Amino acid sequence: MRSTDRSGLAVMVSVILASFTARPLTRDLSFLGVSWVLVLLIGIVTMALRRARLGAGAVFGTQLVLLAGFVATVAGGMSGEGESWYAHIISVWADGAEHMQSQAAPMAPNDGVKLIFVTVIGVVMVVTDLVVSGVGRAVWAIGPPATLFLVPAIGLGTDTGVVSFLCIALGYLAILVAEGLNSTARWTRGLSSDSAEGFGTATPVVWRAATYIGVPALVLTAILGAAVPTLSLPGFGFGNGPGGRGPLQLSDPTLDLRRNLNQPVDRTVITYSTNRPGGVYLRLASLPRLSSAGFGNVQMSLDRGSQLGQIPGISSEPTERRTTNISVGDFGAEYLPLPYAPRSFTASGEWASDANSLVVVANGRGNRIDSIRDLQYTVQSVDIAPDGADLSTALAGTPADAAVTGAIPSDLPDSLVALALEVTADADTPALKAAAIQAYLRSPRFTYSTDPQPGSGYQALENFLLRDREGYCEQFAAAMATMARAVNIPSRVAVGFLPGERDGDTWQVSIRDMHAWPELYFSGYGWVRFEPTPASVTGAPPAWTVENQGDSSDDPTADPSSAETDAAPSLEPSAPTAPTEAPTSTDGSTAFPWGRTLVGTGAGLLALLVLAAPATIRIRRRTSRLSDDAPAEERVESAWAEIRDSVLDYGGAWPLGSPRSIGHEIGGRLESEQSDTMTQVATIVERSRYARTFTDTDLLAELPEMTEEIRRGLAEPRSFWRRASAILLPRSLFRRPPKP
Amino acid sequence: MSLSYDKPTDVGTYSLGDVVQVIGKVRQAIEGVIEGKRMPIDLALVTLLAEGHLLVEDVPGVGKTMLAKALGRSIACTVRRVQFTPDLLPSDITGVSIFNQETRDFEFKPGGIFANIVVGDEINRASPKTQSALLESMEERQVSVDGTTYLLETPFMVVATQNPIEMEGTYPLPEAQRDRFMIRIEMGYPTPNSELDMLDSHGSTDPLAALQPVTDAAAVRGMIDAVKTVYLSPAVKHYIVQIVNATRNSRDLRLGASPRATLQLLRASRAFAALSGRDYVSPDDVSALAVPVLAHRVLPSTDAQLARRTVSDIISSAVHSVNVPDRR
Repeated sequence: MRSTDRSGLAVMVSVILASFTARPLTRDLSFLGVSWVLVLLIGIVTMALRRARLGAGAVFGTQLVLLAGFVATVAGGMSGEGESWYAHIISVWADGAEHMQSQAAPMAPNDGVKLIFVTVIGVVMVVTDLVVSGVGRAVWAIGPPATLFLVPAIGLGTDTGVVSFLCIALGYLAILVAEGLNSTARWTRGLSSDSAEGFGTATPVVWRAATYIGVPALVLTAILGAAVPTLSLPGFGFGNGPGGRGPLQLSDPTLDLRRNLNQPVDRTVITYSTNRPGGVYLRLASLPRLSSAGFGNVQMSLDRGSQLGQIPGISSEPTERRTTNISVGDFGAEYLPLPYAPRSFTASGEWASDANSLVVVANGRGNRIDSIRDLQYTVQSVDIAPDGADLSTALAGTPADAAVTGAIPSDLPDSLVALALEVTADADTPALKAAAIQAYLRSPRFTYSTDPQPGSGYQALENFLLRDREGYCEQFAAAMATMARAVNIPSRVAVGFLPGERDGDTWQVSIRDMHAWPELYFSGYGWVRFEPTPASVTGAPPAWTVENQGDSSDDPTADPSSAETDAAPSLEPSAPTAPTEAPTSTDGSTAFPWGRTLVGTGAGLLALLVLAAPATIRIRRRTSRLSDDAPAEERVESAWAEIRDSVLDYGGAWPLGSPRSIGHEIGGRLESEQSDTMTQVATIVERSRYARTFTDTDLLAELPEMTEEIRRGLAEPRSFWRRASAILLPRSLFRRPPKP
Repeated sequence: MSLSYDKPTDVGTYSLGDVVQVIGKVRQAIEGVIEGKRMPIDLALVTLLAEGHLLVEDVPGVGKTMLAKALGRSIACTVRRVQFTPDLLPSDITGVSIFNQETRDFEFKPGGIFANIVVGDEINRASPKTQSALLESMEERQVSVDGTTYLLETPFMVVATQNPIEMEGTYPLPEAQRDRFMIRIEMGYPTPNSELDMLDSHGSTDPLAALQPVTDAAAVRGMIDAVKTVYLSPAVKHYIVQIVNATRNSRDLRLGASPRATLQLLRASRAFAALSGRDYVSPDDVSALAVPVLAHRVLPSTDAQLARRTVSDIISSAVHSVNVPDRR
């Protein structure tokens, strides 16, 4: 294969891999195929032009023409205004840019956005090719594809994930391997054979080096990629997992929950006034995905604006609106604390809401975690307070996101399922089953403690439900939600605040009022809040959730929520949480982020591998050069090339001229003994190149040793840093290859 | 003085090792007379081994004639010196047929050219006609007088000296004739130390008179044949051609080097390599000889002259513009 073909193929592979990193940006991935056509078109034409030995300028010009032509063709197929073709392209681009600014990632399909992506990938292709073949600096070829990676990662604040990174790394590796093959072929060319196209004998070494680096990197990343979803984060596992499933990097509210419940000093973080008697539960987020790591978040499809979408699952929306004026103090989160079910809000800043959960998150740029700090806003909401009797006959519904909230993971432990079936054995309807579970958890069997066992995944839940029966709201909520799942009721875990303490017209919510509770889905009622955490913390359960409420003569319709709302504030929710009981160190140990550690270690190892790549390639090259299984002349040339590269590595310049003059000049930089060796090697090279025959096997045998001696001589006077950089970042790999 | 006019056949077998040894002795002998002039001496020996002729150009008194004489003395061969003057006739160079009364026949009296080493002093003082007679013989290595051709004995080497100052009343060699000389050297002034040594050695005695031959003409013939066996790789041949071509394409030169120059550069490189004891020519040999072999054959352009660039500089930069071959 020609060296230009090899570089061209590597560039194509690299850019196509890099184009995957734009995935998280938009929901419509049809632009990928179109851009690949462009990449292949440019790549193949470029390879043909290089075969025809066209100059770099002409190739670059042709690439630009191809790019412009392709973009114009694609734009021509799209609707847009504009008289001339370029005006048309610009109008489609402008349309796309506008669309991008008005939408949060992942964006809905739009022609303009597609055209922009196709253009950007085409430009990356041209620039990468320019870097690799045009200016011959293959090592810098990571730059252009990396911009594709960084745009989603930095610019839009979305999660690009491990897969994207892997794509970029693999593409870069492909280019480096191609370059390694090319340079090896270049060195052996004209020595071993007269074929300018054949691979030299050193070629397998490059493949081996590539294998040594590439295979471990691939395996490692694959293992991490597989491990991450299940190990993403402890607790509710609010990780977005790999591959950027979450468009926004959302923090884990459960980490806040655990930390805040153990705050040594209680303080008021939210003050609100509401026209709802009994105060409101302020919900930050809800976690719908159940996995072995506990409950976690999934990708949200966000809509901008302060009006929220329909309340999921409710048959008739209550007409009575509740108005709550909320003032947040020193508390940071990217979620807007809202009573369920919110209808609209007025808050400064950029906000977007998720239709399934009605969770509102900050959508602006910058530090989103500070979005609600010192924020004052008003929210209109309706109460979801079903009539207990009616609810008791309700069926478990199928929410829009049933694939997540109704899923029973295949690896859910049988013991949990068995317990759920046992607890609900006497209940006939889903709501009664839910009430039975709640009653079971609120029974004196379970004790509330903020000294929790690590995590709340399956293992933690088994531990909580079947063994020590100690936990706090996170375990109670997760246990109930999990058990509800087991009996086919869609469930999720909400994280937020208890209503707090009444103080005149306002309510004071303290940091230790942070709370988690399950939400269960019933046909006609939508998501309904349950309260399995013991009464010592939460007071009485919601009226509609009490078992057999329907049979009770005590009709709660007058004010179904009064019982619980009155009770809740009357009890200090954090009373059992004495600061001394739960020092923060305990919290730290339980929240040890295994997932992050693993991902971090993996990323570190990968970074190390990438960092070690130049050194490895360099060392492999040296070993192969100094091996003794080549013809005499080739061995001499290899040793000479090795000395040349070593001189470059240690920051010296390689003079032009005959071997003898080079030997003289380099020898002048060395100690006398090594200088003599250098002169001797130069003479060997001269004899090998210009004499009739060269068959001095004794000298040949000494050649590797002589080369090493010269290398030592070159390294000796250098500073430590220069020597280190000569090993880790050998300049000889980065220099422009000599003209043939 | 014995003269043989036929090309001799009694050439012994000489190896390159012998060449280094014998030439080493000759060099040592010459250095006993001329101190501190290693390069001019080596170039003179290269000319001898490559069957070329030597042009020595420099101001009076720096040892031009001394070098030529020392070279002739250190080899047991015939040496003749011809002092070129305006009234020198061509027949003084080539020889003349005179009628012998006793034999009643014409008898050929050989001229100054019939020697192994001919020292032509101040060659630019002779008339062009006389110069031509000398240069013709140099090229042909034979002399034709009255319809008879006389071959000159090998080794045959003309060492001509030329004085670049006092040009009045002289006939500087035209370019076409300078081309016949393989190598032009300039003696240059000795270093102070060499000059001090010279005062010691030449003050009381005449080292030239004391110089004993260290080899003979037959040995030189053997060495000339040995030098022809020096290997010249295709890459180096290419290198030579590229250098000569570079002089032809140089903007600073009005006239580049001739194909004869190419050939002579090749021969000289072989001899130079042999002098170093190598059986192959390296690019260093070629680049070292480029200026002595080429500089007197080319003409600088007016611009280069105005810029006061010497021909040596121009040739050097032409050599540097050619990449040294890095493969066979």
